Amino acid sequence: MGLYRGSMSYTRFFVRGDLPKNHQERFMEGIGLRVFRELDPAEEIDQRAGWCVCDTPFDLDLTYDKVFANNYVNLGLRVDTWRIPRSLFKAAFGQAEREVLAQSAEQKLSRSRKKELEAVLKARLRRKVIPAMRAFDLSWSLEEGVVRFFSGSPKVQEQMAELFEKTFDLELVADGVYLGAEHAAVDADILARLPKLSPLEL
Amino acid sequence: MELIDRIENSRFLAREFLLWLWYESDRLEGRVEVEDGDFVELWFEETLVLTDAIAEVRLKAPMPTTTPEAFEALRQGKRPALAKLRITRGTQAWTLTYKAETTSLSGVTLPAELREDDDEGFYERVNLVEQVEAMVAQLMGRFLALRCSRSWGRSVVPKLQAWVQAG
Repeated sequence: MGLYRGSMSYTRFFVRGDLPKNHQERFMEGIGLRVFRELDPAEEIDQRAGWCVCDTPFDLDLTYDKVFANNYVNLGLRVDTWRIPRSLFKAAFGQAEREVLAQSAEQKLSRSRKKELEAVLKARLRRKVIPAMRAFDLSWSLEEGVVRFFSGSPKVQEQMAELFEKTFDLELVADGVYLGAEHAAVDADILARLPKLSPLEL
Repeated sequence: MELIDRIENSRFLAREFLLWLWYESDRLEGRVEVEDGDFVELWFEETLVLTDAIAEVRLKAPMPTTTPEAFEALRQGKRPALAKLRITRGTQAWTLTYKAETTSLSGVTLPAELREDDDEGFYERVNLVEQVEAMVAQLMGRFLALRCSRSWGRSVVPKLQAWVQAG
């Protein structure tokens, strides 16, 4: 369910600011710098987000034809996360803790030693699991200055907005009554009055 | 006033917009004017959520806005926060769920699509979604103009009060 098929669930964002000159070249350059990169078990990060081809999360070859559809920029936001099963981690930690204690005179591990052990185990266990992958469609109508993003999660929306702003060097703001009215070019007097209205009492 | 304050201070109007749509749809038997002389059929169906600062009423019914529980919630001060709408223009019908908090649309079903799942299909889908967004925006524009007018307090509010009490 998303941009290309099924019912659509999305949040709109407005792009503030003008498109730069040669925007197609500049955007392709920006996208190229923030294409999704696979997680590496050796890295000390739990999650990574980046752009992929819309509706094809394994396709990271973001060519012009795959990104631009006339006046639309279509992208996928891919977010991979290491998810080590809790039971696996708990069992591995218990065993490692016993081994460490057996080799030392201590009765129990200090908090800092536990943290260190956790980090070592996480790095080891990452090699045994594959990252959980999620991908979300995004369609930017350059003419309207509207981005439709197909996720209702505020956290994912925040990740997308951050990546979008870094990629395109344009500000993104979520739709709402005030910005929607501004975008629709409602009368300036009405726009000025909106924030001063009081809720209706029935 | 900072932009963030203007955004936050106007947020409650999305719930009042849903209330006004409900009133208009009820009063005009579904035939709602989006712009001068341009009408759509607009009905509330299946899901309606009304909230206030402390509680929520979630109604599931074929026509939830006609239920006594919906009007009782209005009389208690609750306002619609989420509603499923069916909008029909000519032979084309859209259904969508409008969430007031974020003015976002979910579960948007489009009129029957003609093209395949390819580039042409994308343009057709995006055109259909832009059409329904435009209708919602026009309705919102009408509501905001009325909400800021003198006739809101003088004429509309008394009618809304009578409608809620009678419902």
